[in-house]
Amino acid sequence: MNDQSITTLIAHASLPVQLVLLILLAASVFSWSTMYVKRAYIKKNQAEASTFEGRFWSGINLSDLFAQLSVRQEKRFGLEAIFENGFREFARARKAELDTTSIVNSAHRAMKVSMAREIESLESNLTFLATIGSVSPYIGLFGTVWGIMESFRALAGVQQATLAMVAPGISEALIATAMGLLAAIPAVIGYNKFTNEVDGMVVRYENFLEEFTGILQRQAQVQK
Amino acid sequence: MFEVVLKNPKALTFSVLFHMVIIIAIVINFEFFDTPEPVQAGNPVKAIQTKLIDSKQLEETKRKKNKEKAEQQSKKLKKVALEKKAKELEQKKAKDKKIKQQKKEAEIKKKAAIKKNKALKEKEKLRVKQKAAAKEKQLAKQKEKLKRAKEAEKKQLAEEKKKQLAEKRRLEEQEQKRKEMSLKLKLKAEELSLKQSLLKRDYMIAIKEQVERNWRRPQESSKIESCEVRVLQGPGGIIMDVTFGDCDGGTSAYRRSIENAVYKAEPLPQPGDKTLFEREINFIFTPK
Repeated sequence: MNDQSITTLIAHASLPVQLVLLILLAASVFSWSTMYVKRAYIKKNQAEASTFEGRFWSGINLSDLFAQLSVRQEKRFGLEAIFENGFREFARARKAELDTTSIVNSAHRAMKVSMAREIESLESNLTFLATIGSVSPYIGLFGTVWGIMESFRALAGVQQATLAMVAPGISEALIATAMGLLAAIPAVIGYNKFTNEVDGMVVRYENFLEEFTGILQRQAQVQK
Repeated sequence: MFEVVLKNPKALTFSVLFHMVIIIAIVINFEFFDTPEPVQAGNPVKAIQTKLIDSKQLEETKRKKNKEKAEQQSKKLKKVALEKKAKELEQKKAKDKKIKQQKKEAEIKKKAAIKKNKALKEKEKLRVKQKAAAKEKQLAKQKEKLKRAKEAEKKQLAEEKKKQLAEKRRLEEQEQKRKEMSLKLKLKAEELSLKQSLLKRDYMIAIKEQVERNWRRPQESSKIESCEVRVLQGPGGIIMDVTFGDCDGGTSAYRRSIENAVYKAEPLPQPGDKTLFEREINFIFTPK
């Protein structure tokens, strides 16, 4: 055992340790790609919210804005989706000639449902990141414990035990812990960052929803 | 969970590449720079004993060898000295013979050399004359060439000066054009901002007039003064909120009448330019 490089250590490791390393590598790959996807999605949502707020507060008539949105074929998301669902419900309830409070309530409910859907799509896959962040150190630890067990078991039959006989085994076992931490740390950082950003978006949506409900209420009163 | 990742091959390839880079970096770092030196197996005590014995023996053998070498060297030196003396004697005899021969040859050569020198001197005199004539011709040619070159340089300088002047004029013209353009742009921007500010004033006046038109004088109030009104409006001119700023003289009935007027004026007029829309509008209400 003169060659102590990391590749030979891994190649000499026992099967369970190698399996653990493989699982951790896969977990790391998946967590990084989910982070990539989530980052792009959240950025897209933030940009959409900014542009839509700009349009909404540009003094444009609400029914004109709704008409502009409903002409577009592509799938709507974020604030656009919330606004569209709310305003459609508002128009429907007003045609049915309900009283002001029930018109506003039905619009509010429709927007709440739409907002819940948006938040859910923002939060999707964040649990996956959290799971990798919390579980992969344990998987790595399992690999390490298994490797150390193996190397001590090999010692049991020997009369004169030396450090040189145990050291490679322990070294190869510790690689599993290192790999677990390597997979966990970015996942935890990403999870914290994304939950923070999603919370910001939730607050933004809620503010918009309340403001828009107020506007709808005033509009309903004016029409009466 | 994995669906999202598998739907985005871009993300997956990014991640895989990233990991490959990291793994390669780690492997290279461990294999070529940080490989720990392997601990040598075997009994270290034995190695030290053998080294001690070896050194003592080595010293004794070295001394013997040194003595033998010194004796051999002294013998060699003596032989070499004898040989050198014999060689020197032979060389001296040979040298004497050579010197005599050389003296004879030198005398013959001197005589021949004197004859040759005379002939050479005559030839050289002729050559010098010819050369002097050639040099004069060449000097004349060079002078002409220099004159021509100077004239050409003067012409070139004049042309360059002309070109530089032309370029300067062009640059100046361009700068003037730029200045004119920027001035025009500034004027246009000023006109635009003027238009905008005019439009904005019109917008504010329109709102104010619409509110004042919808105002009904309250019955009880005797003293009525102007009042600062702050209106929060939503899209389409819908009124969200009405608050009062500086309105010292107004009674509550007066304020209520203004509020009613604002709500009656709903929806508020829209600005000519949509970018001028503002959520918060301040104006001073002056009753007639």
